[in-house]
Amino acid sequence: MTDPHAGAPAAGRRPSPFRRAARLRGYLFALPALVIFGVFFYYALGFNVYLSLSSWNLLSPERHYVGFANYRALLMSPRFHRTLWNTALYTAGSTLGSMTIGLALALALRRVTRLARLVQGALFAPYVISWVSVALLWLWLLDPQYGLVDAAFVRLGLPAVNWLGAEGTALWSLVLLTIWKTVGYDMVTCLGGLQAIPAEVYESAALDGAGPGVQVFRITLPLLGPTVFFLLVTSVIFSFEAFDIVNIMTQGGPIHSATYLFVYFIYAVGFQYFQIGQAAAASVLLFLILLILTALEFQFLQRRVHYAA
Amino acid sequence: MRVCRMIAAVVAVVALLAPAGMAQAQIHLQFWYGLGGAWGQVVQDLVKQFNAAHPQIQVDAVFQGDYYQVVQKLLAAYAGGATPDIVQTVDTSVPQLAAAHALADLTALARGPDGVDMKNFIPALLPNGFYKGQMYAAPFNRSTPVLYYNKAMYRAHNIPDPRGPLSWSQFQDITQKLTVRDSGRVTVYGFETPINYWFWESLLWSAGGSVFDPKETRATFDSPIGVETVNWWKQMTDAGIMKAPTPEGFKAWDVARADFIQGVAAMIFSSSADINYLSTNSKSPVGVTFLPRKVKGAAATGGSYLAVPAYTKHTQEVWTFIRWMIQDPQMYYWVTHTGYVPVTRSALQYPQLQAYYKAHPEYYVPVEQLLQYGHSQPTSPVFNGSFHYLEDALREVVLGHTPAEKALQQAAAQIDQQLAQVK
Repeated sequence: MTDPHAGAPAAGRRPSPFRRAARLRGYLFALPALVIFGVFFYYALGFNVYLSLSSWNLLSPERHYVGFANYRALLMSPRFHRTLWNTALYTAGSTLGSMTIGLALALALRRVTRLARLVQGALFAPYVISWVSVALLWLWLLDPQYGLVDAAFVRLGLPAVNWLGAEGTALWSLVLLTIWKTVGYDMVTCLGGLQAIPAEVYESAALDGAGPGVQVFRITLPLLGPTVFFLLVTSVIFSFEAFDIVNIMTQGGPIHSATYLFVYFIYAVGFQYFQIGQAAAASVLLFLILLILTALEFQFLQRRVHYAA
Repeated sequence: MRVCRMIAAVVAVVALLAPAGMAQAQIHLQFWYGLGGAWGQVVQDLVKQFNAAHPQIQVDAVFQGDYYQVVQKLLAAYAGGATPDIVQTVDTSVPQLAAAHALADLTALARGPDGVDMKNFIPALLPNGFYKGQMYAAPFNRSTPVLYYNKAMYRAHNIPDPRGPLSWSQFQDITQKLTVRDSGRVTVYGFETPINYWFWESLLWSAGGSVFDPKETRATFDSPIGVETVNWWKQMTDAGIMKAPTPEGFKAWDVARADFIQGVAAMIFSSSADINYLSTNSKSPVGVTFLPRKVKGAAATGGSYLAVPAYTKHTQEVWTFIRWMIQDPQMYYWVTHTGYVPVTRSALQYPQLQAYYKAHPEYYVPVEQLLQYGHSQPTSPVFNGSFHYLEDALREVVLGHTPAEKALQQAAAQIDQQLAQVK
């Protein structure tokens, strides 16, 4: 009964009832995925765009169309400016930090020894812990009164630092612990990339007289391009989506919106100030920013990436 | 054919199950509450007692995070059309929800044959349950901010137990005395308070200031009195005798409580709801007294109400539950296991509660403060979404370097915009 050519009826002829049924079955198989995407993704996306053009508090039955007023208010808002700046710093700091250290660790630990494996395991461990646990853990470690970090500082004769409570250090504390959490993943991904580089390339380079330094910069790094590129794209997107650590550790504070990151901003505007329109507008902007960033990354970097087999 | 058979099977199963469901006349009510830890356990205890006493109604109490998380989840539930039947919701959210037609009007039930005597409620606890003259929520877990002090430290410095509110200057002297430094580093702060609007507005009122004008059309906290009030905190913080915990929201309360229990802070502002918790956990005996006063005594009311989301089908049963929760025996159980204040005058006359207060006078301090100086919160529907502007300003002054005038004026301007939209 199954007709493999159903759905492509010969021109000029009405599809037979059998063929129509078969084609319908094809749609039926796709239906669950289509419904889920349609309802939870495309409908939500469209509804969000619509909300971004309205004034609404989540409750009142009436939503007023306000045009681009929400976008204008956002672009005028000092807190939004600060959020953009914070997000840029956080993204640059955590992405570059984690990738550089991860790559260095991968190069240092690439030889398969028992010790290297142990260290790799230890470094990777934080990656599998949930963000909420990591945030709570570091909240204790960084506590100015009872925290281990400041206790160590005082023992060493250094001044105690109110890591999360001072405007100057709060964001960088978040960057540091993000690096701590993600560096293992970057390292493992780079190790995987390193293994894909054929040993013959190094052998022939060594024969040609290339030292270890030259090998790293002329062979390893260029051939690791696809891996690094993949890490860059995913880390940037991820950094833009950071929420848990802000919500648990600083709630955007301590002052002057010092640790407002993009998604936390959306949450605060929507669910603390109940300005759903502005929160929706910020979501749309986040979507556009990520789209543009990813496009730029592909445009400028992909060309320079060597996809060696 | 197969499809037909499946449909027939489903119909048969539904037909079999339906009567079973109907025979069970028990009504299930979902109750969202916003108190964690030991406090949440007491809520669960009360609900269990209610269910045992009302076999035909079963209340299912679901913990939904802190007060503000409850409101957030409730809003999401409205958007999704899946609200609970009863909600414990923070005082400032009642007008917000009522103005959006999200709550059932309880006025008729409260005045009806199974109603409550409005005059029985302690007056300062009522206004936040009303919106435009109608009752939308009944006070349940209400509290006032109090000053907790470490009795051992008071003794060590020969400071007598306060009787009634201290003046601001007396309070500052004591704070100074209680502060301990070890080679320049503060080891005991005389005083610690979360930089929270709730404590601040109490001080503002005690200095003769106001949050809004009487008609709630304009923010007035940026007055010279407001500036003086926030600068007082600033000045004590800069002098190193007051600690302002840096996390925001309820996290700051956790820090203050922990510091008090550990003896890092000699005095803290916190809710009267913490009496039981702090007395149980603190190494030193805990003193409870009134908030300090400038020109008059003042203490905000706080805590939550019991309200009914507009879409519940079981208004009558929900009302039965609410009424039961605020009856004297339940109030007695609730108050003595937490430190909240009773919401009715009759509960105050309840013999067991009176005996309890005689044996534990610290539990009576917030009641006395409430009866003498209780001050309800602003009742504008936009307050719950806009007090963050005020709190951000307070933090920027106390923890940062923004001049008080500038910070408060900016916050007032933001809130004025919101107030202007109220119809």
